[in-house]
Amino acid sequence: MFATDALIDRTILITGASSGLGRATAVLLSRMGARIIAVGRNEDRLIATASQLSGAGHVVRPFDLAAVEAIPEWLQSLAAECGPLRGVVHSAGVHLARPLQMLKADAVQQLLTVNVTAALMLAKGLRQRAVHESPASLVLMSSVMGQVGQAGVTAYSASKGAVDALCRSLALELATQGIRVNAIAPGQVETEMAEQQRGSLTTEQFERIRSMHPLGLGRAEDVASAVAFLISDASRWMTGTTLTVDGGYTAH
Amino acid sequence: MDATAFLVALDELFELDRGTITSADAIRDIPGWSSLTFMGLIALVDDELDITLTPDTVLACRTVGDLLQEVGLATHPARQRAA
Ligand SMILES: NC(=O)c1ccc[n+]([C@@H]2O[C@H](COP(=O)([O-])OP(=O)(O)OC[C@H]3O[C@@H](n4cnc5c(N)ncnc54)[C@H](OP(=O)(O)O)[C@@H]3O)[C@@H](O)[C@H]2O)c1
Repeated sequence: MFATDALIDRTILITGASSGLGRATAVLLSRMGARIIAVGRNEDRLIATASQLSGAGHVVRPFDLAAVEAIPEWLQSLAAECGPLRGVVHSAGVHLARPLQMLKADAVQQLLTVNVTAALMLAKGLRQRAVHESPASLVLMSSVMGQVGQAGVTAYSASKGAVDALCRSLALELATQGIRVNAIAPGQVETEMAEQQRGSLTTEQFERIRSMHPLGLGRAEDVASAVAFLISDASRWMTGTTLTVDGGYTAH
Repeated sequence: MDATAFLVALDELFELDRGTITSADAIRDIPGWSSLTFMGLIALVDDELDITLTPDTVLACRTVGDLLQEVGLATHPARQRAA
């Protein structure tokens, strides 16, 4: 669907590359010629992703994004090693389903750290002169939960609303540096996270969510295609937007 | 977490006085049973016992005692009597 040379010779860092949407994105961007830096905590699963990539020169770099303070310097060392980045995709994320009476402040904090603070620190790292090569593109994984509500997923919704909001301000702050910033808001896609989330729903509840997606549940590749568009020059005049990719979930 | 502490945690989840829920209670008849408390119950087992229950497993439990059995906190009254 995309030209195999659209991202040729571009180094793209993908967080959450060990699973789900991040892995599907790594596979697609590699088919478009990109050199992938695959990031996540689980090295074995990152290696499994690397084995599915097309082309050569990809690297696996395990890193715990909860170490937010260390992110900018870590990006600097990656750029020194692999060359400046033309793009970053922040697909690492944490989900939490807890009714309020079960919601613990430290779990909220951990979720916000990976979903929100890490996104900001990645942007802070990317803007450093030695780290990016413009035009560059930063793509953040948000969720429809940043736009509509669902009982029991308050902390997660808050984090995704924050991603949509910070994406707009970052877009303004980084435009002069030649860095575009956009987010993607997927509906329910069948990945491990969705599987985990499904674990707290009855068959009946899950069927209701499925029926609220007029085009059915998504596949990871559906979201990867949207990332490919936002990372590539095809979206050169887009910044500060959240692209909803949800099979019609929020059209209701 | 033992069975007694688990029952207290259930009381807290359903916002009932301590000691209200017993293993003889039918799960779906607990006052306050809803999709949210159901989500909370699965989270409780996950957080405290590190066991991931499928929703359908929970729904297959008729009583709180059946649930205790499922998560390995049952006291096996029959065997205790025999001993
Ligand atoms: N699936 C959906 O239906 C859906 C819908 C809307 C939005 N989203 C969003 O899309 C993104 C990807 O979701 P997914 O479905 O692909 O989830 P997933 O399969 O659960 O994968 C989550 C990824 O995040 C990484 N991660 C988590 N904590 C990390 C940490 N502290 N440091 C480094 N990496 C970390 C995990 O890697 P390791 O385990 O190797 O650390 C894994 O690669 C998330 O932001 C999610 O909120 C998903």
